[in-house]
Amino acid sequence: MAKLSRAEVEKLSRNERIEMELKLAAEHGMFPKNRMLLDKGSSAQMSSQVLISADSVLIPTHEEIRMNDLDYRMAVRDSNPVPDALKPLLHRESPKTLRDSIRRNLDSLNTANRELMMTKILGQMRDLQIQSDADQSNEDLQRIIARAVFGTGEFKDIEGEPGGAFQNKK
Amino acid sequence: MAVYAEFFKHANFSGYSESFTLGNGSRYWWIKFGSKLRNEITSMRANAYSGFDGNVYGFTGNDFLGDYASLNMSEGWTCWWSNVGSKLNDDIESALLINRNKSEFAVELKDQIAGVFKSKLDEKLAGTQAHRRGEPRVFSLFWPSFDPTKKLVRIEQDLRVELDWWPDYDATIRYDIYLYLSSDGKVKGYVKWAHTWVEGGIFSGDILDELHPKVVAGAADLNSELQNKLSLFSSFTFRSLYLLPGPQPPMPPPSSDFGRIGNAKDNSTLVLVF
Repeated sequence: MAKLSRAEVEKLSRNERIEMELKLAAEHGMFPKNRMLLDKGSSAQMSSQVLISADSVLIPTHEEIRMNDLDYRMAVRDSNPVPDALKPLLHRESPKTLRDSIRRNLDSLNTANRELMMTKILGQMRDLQIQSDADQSNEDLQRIIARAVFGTGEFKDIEGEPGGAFQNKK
Repeated sequence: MAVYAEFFKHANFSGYSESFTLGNGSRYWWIKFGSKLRNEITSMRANAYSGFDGNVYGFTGNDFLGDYASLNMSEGWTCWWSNVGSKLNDDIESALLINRNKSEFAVELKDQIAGVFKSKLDEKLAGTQAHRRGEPRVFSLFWPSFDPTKKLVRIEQDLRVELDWWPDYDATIRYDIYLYLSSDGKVKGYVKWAHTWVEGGIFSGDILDELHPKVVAGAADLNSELQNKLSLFSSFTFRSLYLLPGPQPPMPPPSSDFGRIGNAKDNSTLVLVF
């Protein structure tokens, strides 16, 4: 029997397909040693860590691994919230106190202290987001912070693009 | 603090939003959005400051893969997508914020790796039932579940496995390369993982059993080629090494290069900091 095309095989039901493939393989003297009755769309896969001799110069030391790999922070929203029990240890200030403190710090922003204060204010905002669920007051405050810290500019899209850039004006 | 990014539910920075601040003590901040913004984002904007340039990427995959919208910020600049467009709208699931140093050397790895990989693989496959299908893809893989602290460079190649009596089986082979800086600032690397995938069918297991050991053995050849390539950097000393998704973004960007829409599998960019 001639080799079937993929289109012809696609028309067969799962059982017909298995039966036909086995039959045609047998006609060619082939029998699967590791027979897998896989559904359409499924697959077989295998992953292996490539073995390298422990004394190879390619293997990084623990210190090199630490230096190269520990360069990130992460946020997995919903699936990994900060447990309530940890919140007082992470941040001792209540959301209200934080909001009041952020507003005071925003009022005190000037050219001389901007670099220092922006670091503090953005850190406080991050703490506030961890402390309390996002709500309208946080969202409003975040907008005020963005304007105060980065200055204002006109979000005017580049012609033909739904986006753009401006240099911050302080 | 060096990169501040905001992601919004609606166009023109409106609706529910979440913001993230990447300090200057870390290279990356990675985000997997939760129920409030996952597959809901339409606009995004970001700033870079405090001595750093920066990039921000929003990906359609939850594993920093898929299509992306990126922003390229010089220090002191704000960049934005007021609307990420129909391809990405309500489809972004993960994001990366990345601090960029001022003195860096960046190299796109596809140009460096794909050609050599392809010719070596064709040599190996000559006279077998397996053939290369299309071109190899070279891309950055960030903190995969099977090696969750690593950033890897993946080489992925589709194959066609011919049988005399049945339509060809599709297969894919993948190598994951770990690049790192040694304690004396030299670039080093090796093939850390080998993967084989075969489409479903009666002979999937047989093909996998036949193919996978050859893929694993092929890592040694790839390692040799890799060491040749890395030797080009041997006379240089670097302070830091990291990866970017896709091709090299123009840094510092002119304002017309505020960002791009791309796919994470388009390329992998290795960045070395002097």
